[in-house]
Amino acid sequence: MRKRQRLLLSVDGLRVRRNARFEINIPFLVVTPGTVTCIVGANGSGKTTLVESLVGLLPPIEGEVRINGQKAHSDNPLVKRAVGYVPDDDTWIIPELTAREYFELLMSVQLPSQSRVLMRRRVEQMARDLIFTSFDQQLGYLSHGNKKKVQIIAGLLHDPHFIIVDELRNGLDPIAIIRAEALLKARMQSGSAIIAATHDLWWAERFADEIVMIRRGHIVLREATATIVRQYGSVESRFMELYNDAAISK
Amino acid sequence: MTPQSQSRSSRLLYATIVSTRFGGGSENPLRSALTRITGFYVGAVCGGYVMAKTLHNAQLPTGIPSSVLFAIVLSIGFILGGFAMLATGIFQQAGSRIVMQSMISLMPLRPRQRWFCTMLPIVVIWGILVVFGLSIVCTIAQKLGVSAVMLSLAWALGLLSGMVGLLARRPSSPFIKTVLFVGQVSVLLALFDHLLQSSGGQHFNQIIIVIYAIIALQCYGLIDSYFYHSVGTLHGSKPEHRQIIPKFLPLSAWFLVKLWRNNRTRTSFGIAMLLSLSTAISMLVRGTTFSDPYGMLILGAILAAMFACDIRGTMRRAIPPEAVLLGGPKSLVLSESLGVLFCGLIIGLPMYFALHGSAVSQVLFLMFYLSVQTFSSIVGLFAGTVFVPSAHDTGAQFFSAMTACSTVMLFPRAAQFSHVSVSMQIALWSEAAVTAWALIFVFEIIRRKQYGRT
Repeated sequence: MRKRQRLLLSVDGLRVRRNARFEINIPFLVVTPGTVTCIVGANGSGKTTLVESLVGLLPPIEGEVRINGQKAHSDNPLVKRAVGYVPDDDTWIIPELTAREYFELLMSVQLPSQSRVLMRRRVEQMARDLIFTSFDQQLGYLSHGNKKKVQIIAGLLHDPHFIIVDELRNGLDPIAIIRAEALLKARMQSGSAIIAATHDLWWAERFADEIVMIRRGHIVLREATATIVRQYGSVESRFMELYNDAAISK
Repeated sequence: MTPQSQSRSSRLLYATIVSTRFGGGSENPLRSALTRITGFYVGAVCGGYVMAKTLHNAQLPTGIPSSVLFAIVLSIGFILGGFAMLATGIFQQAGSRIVMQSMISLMPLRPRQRWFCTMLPIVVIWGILVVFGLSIVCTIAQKLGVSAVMLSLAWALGLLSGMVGLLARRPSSPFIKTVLFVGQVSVLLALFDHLLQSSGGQHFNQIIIVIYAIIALQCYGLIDSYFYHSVGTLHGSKPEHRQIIPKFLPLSAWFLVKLWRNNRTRTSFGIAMLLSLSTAISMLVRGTTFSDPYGMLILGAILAAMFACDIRGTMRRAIPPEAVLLGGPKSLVLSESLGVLFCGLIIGLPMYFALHGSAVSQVLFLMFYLSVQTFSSIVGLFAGTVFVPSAHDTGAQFFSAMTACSTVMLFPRAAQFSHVSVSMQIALWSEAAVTAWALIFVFEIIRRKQYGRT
């Protein structure tokens, strides 16, 4: 896999409102190329809101997300192409299309000038890795796990600089999980940055270089996984400690 | 990016939009979408041709200045276009967040490409309505000796203005939008009343200008929708829905509770009620007496059918949990029917009260009202069962609403109501309602049995 230009994703004074009662405040966050950052937190802590904002879906009410200096919430096609998104939402597909048609559409939209044969090969390779074969079935009729596989391929097929994954393991079988992780690691080694939102602390500890813990829309911890493990034994202990502290102080 | 690759990507994208919006729930969505669209275009051409033929033999008032004629055609187009948007509920998508829209907003597309993805279904529907009116408009132009091209253009623009006017995000409430639309229609009708009374001069021209200005104002919706849908990010925050749970209802009325809690059906019901009430009030205010109050009741029936179309779409197409958990498809259809009949009768009530004074026999009128509302509600439910117009499924919404409304309108003609007594008409409406009801059962049972076999 080719080595790529090193881009940087930076968050500065970000404030995103999900609804009248919930918003997230992220004063500062930088994601460097070739790393895996896991955003962990309890249910409703703001992981998906942050992810949707990083992707460029939710506009900020204050601050900004920049991808190599360019605003993420803009119409710049280069910025859009720099991001690959794997959502944790079964409906994030076009159910009327077959997997083949869906990938064709994404290929033509994402990289219209690239060789179709090359891209097809890339898709087929990823499908083989993830053991996905239902190319000619309508996406709406696929199983939950197969839909997730389609979403992973769709998020990666244009070889993005930033891969933003929301709950990667949801719906995947054990083999597919291992293969999906391997796919992401390979992308990371070629210089892509991976941001993964999860509530699975064990997986985050195993997979991430850096842990960002989020609680009620605020970052409460941002540290290298190795440091957390060295100081507290595991990400889980640190997480529980932080949450217990918060409960006591409340 | 080469022009070829650009056009290929656009072609694929627009084909996808057409498939998803008009061909949902079929094995080959694109083919199904194209078949449905073609079918509706052919239907529109035939319907327009039949109406034009009827008009050809009719006596039209001569000596109408062409500027007034254009204003009339523009306004009729405006009303019909707006009504089509209200009937199909498409305008409710103007400010909504749907997955397809989110996916499009993440794609590296040009702003106008992104905007056209949203407008494409509306353009298709606009085309169907334009085609429907073309032969009628051309016949009028030929009979009155005005330019057919200009009159057709006025028709197309009028329809477009009625449709795009409702696309504006402000006001965001569908009720306020409907009230505004009804208000504009009332103003237009009042202006035409003035126009008929005035005999030329400056006042005459001023009224014409005001009519043109009202139509032109609708461009705001188009511009607003461009700014909303062309950008690569979603707007605003997700609204929080807090529902009031009516605790006084028995458990068997669960479907009514579901209809009340569902934002879409609640809005549809509100809009149908609003249109029914405003029509009834305008009848009462004008003090009009009708020689055929039975025929006028069809208006209320159309509104009930419009509402009934939306009901099935609140559930999943195949194996809705409501059917699995609560006694199978038969039980579901029974609950749906009760809910739809209850709401259908309420929607028609304002029309009933406005018209019952013109009827000779109150008992017959009541029976007629009950039978026609039952028929329209069940036919609407049947159309909804066939197309299952889920929220944001523009094509299915349009097809089911048009199927239901045209069935209600064409049934008296097909059953030759002009040759039969009112009591016979009641029997025919009721028989047809029972048949449609049985068909709904058959349809749901077959769908349940076919699940997983394709």
